[in-house]
Amino acid sequence: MLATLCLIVMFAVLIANIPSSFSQVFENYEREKYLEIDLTLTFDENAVARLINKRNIGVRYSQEVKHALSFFNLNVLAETEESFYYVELMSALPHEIERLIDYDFRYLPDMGCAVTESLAQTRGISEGDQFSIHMLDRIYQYTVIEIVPDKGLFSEAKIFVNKSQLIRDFYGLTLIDNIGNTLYLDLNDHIDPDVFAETLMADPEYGGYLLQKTIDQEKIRNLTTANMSIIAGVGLIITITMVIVMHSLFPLLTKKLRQPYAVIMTIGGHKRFMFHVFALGIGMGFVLSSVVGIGFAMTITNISARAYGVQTWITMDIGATIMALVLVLCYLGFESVFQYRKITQESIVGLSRDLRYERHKFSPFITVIAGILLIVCLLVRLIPLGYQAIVILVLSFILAFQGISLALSLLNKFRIKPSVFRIFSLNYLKENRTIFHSLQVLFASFLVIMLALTLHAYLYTELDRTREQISSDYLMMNIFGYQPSLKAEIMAYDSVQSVEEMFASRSASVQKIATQEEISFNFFVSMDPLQFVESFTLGLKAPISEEYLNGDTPFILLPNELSFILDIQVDDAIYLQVGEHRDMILVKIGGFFESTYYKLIYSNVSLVSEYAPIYQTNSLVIDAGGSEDLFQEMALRYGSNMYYIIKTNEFIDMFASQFEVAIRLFMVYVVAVVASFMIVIMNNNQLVFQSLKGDYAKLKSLGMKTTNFAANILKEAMVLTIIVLIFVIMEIFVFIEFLPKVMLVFHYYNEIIPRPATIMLAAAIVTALYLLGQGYNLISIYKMKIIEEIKGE
Amino acid sequence: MVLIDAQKVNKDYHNGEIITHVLKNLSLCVSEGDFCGIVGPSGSGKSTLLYVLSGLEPPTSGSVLLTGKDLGHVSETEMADLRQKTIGFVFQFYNLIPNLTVYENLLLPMIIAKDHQPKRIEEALEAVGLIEAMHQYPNQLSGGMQQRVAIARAIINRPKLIFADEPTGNLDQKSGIDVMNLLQKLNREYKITIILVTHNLEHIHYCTRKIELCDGMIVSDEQRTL
Repeated sequence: MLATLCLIVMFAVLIANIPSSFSQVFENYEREKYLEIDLTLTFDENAVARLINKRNIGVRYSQEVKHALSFFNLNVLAETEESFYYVELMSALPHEIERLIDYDFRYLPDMGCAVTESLAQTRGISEGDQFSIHMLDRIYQYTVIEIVPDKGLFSEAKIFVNKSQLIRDFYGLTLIDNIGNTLYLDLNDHIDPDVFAETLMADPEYGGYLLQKTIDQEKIRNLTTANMSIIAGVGLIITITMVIVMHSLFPLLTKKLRQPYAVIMTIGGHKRFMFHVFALGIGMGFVLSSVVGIGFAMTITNISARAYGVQTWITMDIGATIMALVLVLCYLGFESVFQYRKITQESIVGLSRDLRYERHKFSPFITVIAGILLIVCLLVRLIPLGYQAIVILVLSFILAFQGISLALSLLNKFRIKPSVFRIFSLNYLKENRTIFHSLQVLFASFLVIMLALTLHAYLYTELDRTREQISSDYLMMNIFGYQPSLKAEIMAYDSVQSVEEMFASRSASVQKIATQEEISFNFFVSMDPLQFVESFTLGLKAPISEEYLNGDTPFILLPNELSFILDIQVDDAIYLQVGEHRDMILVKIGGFFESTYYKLIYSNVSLVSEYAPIYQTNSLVIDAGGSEDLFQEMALRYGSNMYYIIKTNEFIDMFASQFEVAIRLFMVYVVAVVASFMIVIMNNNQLVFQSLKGDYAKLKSLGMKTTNFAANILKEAMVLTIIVLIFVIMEIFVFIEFLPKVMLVFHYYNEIIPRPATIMLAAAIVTALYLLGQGYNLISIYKMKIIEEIKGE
Repeated sequence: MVLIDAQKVNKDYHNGEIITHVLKNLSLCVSEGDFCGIVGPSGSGKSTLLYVLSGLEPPTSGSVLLTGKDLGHVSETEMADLRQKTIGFVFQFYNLIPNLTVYENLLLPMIIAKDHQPKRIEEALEAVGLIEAMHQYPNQLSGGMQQRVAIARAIINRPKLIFADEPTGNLDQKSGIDVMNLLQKLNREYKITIILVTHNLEHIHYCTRKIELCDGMIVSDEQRTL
C-alpha cells in the first residue's frame, strides 16, 4: 500500500510540476548557454547591414549595458586531413571570448586557434594540428593551440580565432575592436531586458538589426507548452490509472477493519472511533509517502534535466506541489469516508460472519448511460474539442471497464467440464471486485506503457520519417543578389538532375484573423508549389486546387495540426509574416500537410507578382541523384561567395538537435513511467494474491498439487490477458482518434499513433510481468504454510 | 492396523531468540477405527500435535508415519495425494470457500482428487443431514450447519482418517452435540478413524480413546469403552 501511495504522490507531484519543471529546464538551458548575456544583436536576411559597431552602445547606454562583446561569427568550410565540413568560426578579442564563456584561454598567436573539445573528438583534432578554413577564395591555415572544454556558446562544432587579424584580412580594416556581426550584451542587474530591447529597437543605428533576448519567456512558454502537450495524453491516462489503483486498494484496506469495527461496536464504542484509527493510519501513510514521492519526483525531474544538458538544480514549484498533495489527500479522504460508510451500513453480525469477498457486478445502467453520452459526444460538439476529447476518452474507459466486467460475468456461462478452473477460478473471476480492479489497473497500465513506448518510438522514428520526406540532396543557402545564371551553372554538373529556386527564411508566423492567435514556425519556404510538393514529400491532406495553382493569389500550405489548433479550413484567409521586418500579408489557406517536427510552412508569395520583389530567391534546392561528391566541389566553388552548401539531411538535423534533446528529456519520464507501472502491475498481482491466498490454502489442504495450481493460474492468466487485450485494442482505436485532440487543451496537436510493433512490445511487457507475478504467486503457494493461512483468515 | 506411528516427536517454535518447546519427545500410535480425543489445558500442544500428525506442520525432530509413509520424507505430490484420498480435515472455523455453494464446496475435493462422482455429494449431505442446503452459500447457513458441510467435505473422498481441530469450539451446545454425534456416526458406520482435538471434556464420551496432553507431553493415554 505504502509503495503504491508513494508512486501515486510521485506521479501527482510530477504531473503538477511539469509546466514549472519544463520551463525551468528550458530557461536554465539558455542561461547555461549564454551565462551573463541578456541580449544578442545580429543580422538576418532583412538586416540593414552585416556589420555592427558597438562603439555607440558604450556611449549611449553606459548606464544600462555592463559589457558589450563584439564578435565576428561565420559559418565556414573547414578542412582537416582532406575531409570537408562546416564549422562556426567565432572571432573576437581574447578577453571578450573569456568573458562570454567565463574561461581563461591560452595566448592565441595570429594564426592560432582554439577548438571545442567535441569538435576535436569528432574530427580527431589534437593540439598542434593544422586546421584549414576556406574563406573568400583563400585557404587560412591555423594551428590548434588549445582544445577547450565545451562551455556556453563555445560548444559543439566551433573554433575561435583572434578577430583583429581576421577582419584585417576580410575587410582590410584595422582598429576594428568595435566592429563585428554579432553583439552580446550583458546588461546591468537592475535593467529589464524587455525594456532595454525596446529602447535599442527604437535607436536608428541599431533598430534595423535582429535583436534577440537570450531568455525569451515567450519562446520558453511555447516550448514548454509544446513539450508538455506531447505528454499530456500520457499524463491524463496516468491520472485515471492512479485513481483506479487507489480505488482498488481501499476495499482491501477496509476489509481488515470489518471485524475490529464489529468488536468496537459490540462493546459500545462509537462508530467514529475506528474511523479515527483508520484515518490516522491513512494520514501517516500519506505523510510518509509525500516525503518519498516528492523525493522521487525531484530525482526524476533532475535526471531528465541532466539528460537535456542542464546542470542547474530544478526545484519543485511549491504551489503546484501543494495542489497535487491536496488533491491526493482529498481523494484519500473521499475514499476513506466512502469505504468506511459501507462498513458502517452493514450489520455487526454480518461484518463478523460474511467472509465472502466484495462482489462486483456488470452494470447495464452505467453501460447504457455511458454509451449514450459517448454517441452524443461523437456526433455533437458540446464543448471545445480538446475537452470533449477528454470526456470521450473517459467515457470509453468506463465502457471498456463495463465490457471487462461483462466479459468476466459471462465467463462461467461456458459449460465446460467441471474442473478447479470451472468451479473455483471462474466463480471468483466473474464477481470478485479485487480481480475486477486488478484488470482495470492492468488495462490502464497497458495503455500507459504503450503510450510511453509510442512516445519513445515516435520521437525516434520522426527523425527518420522526416529525412525520407525530403527528396532533394543539397540546399544552397545564403545567396545574395541571385541571378538565374547560378542555376544554370549548377545544372551543368553531371550528377545534378534538377535545381529549384526557393525563398527561405528561418522565421515566420501566421495569425488567425478572428482571434489574432499567432503560431510561429522555424522554417518558411516559397517556391513553385508543384516543386515544393515534389521536393518536400510531406503528404498533402488534399490536392491543391487549380485556382491556386494557376492563379496569382497568395496562398499558404500549413501543417495539419493547425487546422485543429486554430480551427481553420482550406480557403480561409490568414495573416502571414515572414521575418520580423516584413509586413504582415493576407493569404488564403491552400491546404494542409503532415506535420513535421521542424515546423515548416509553405507559401507561393515569391511567385505572386505583388510580392515577388520582396521574396527573392535566396536558396536553391538541388537534386543530385544522391551524389556525395558534389558537396566538396560546390562547397569549395561557392564558399568564396559565402553561399552555404548544406546536405539536406544535415539541414534537417540542425532542427533535429533541439528535438533530440527533447527526446532525452522525455526518455527519463518514459523510463520512470514504464518502471513505475511495472511495479504497479506486480503490486496489483500481489494484492489479488493476498485476497485469495486463504482460499488457496483451503485448496491445498484438500490436496491440490502445485502442478494443478500452475495449470489453473496459467489458464486464468490466459483468459484475463485475452480479455484485457481485446478491450485494449478497442481502446487503442479511440486513442488514435482522440488522444491527439486532448493536446488541443494545451493549444497543440500531434498525431502520435501507436505502431503495431509498439503495441506488441507493450503487450509483451505487460503479459510477461503479469505471468512473472503469477509465477511468484505460485512459488508463494508452494511455500505456503496451510495452517498459518487458515488460522489467519 | 496402525494408521499413525509417531516416534520421539519434538516441535519447537522460534520467536526471535525465544524458543518454545511445544511437543517434547512425544510418541503415539493410532490404529484404524480409533476415535481419539486429545484433551489438555490451553497451550499444552493439542493442536500442534494434530498438525504434526496430519502433515500440516513438520516436526522439529522425530518421525511420523502416516499409513506407513514417513511424512518427513514424502514429496509435495505424495502429501497432496494423502490429502486427496487418505485424510480429511475439519477446522474450528469450517474453512469453507465462501463464494462457492455447498454443492460446489463438496464438488471441489472430488475434482482435485480426479474422482468425479456427483452422486456422492448427495450421499455426504444426507449423511450430515443437509441435503436441502445444497445450493446455499456458506454465509447463509448457521455455524453448526457450516461445520456439518465441512464434515461432509472431509468425507467426500472416503478418507481413512479425519483430523478435527476443535470442530465444536465455535458452536453452541446443541450444534456441538450434533457435530459430535455426526463424527461418532462416521467412526462407527463408515469406519473412519478420527483424531479430535477438544477442550471440552464432555466430548470425550464420544471417543474410544482419550489422550491427555500437558506441557507438550502425553500424561495419560487410555482406551475407553462406550
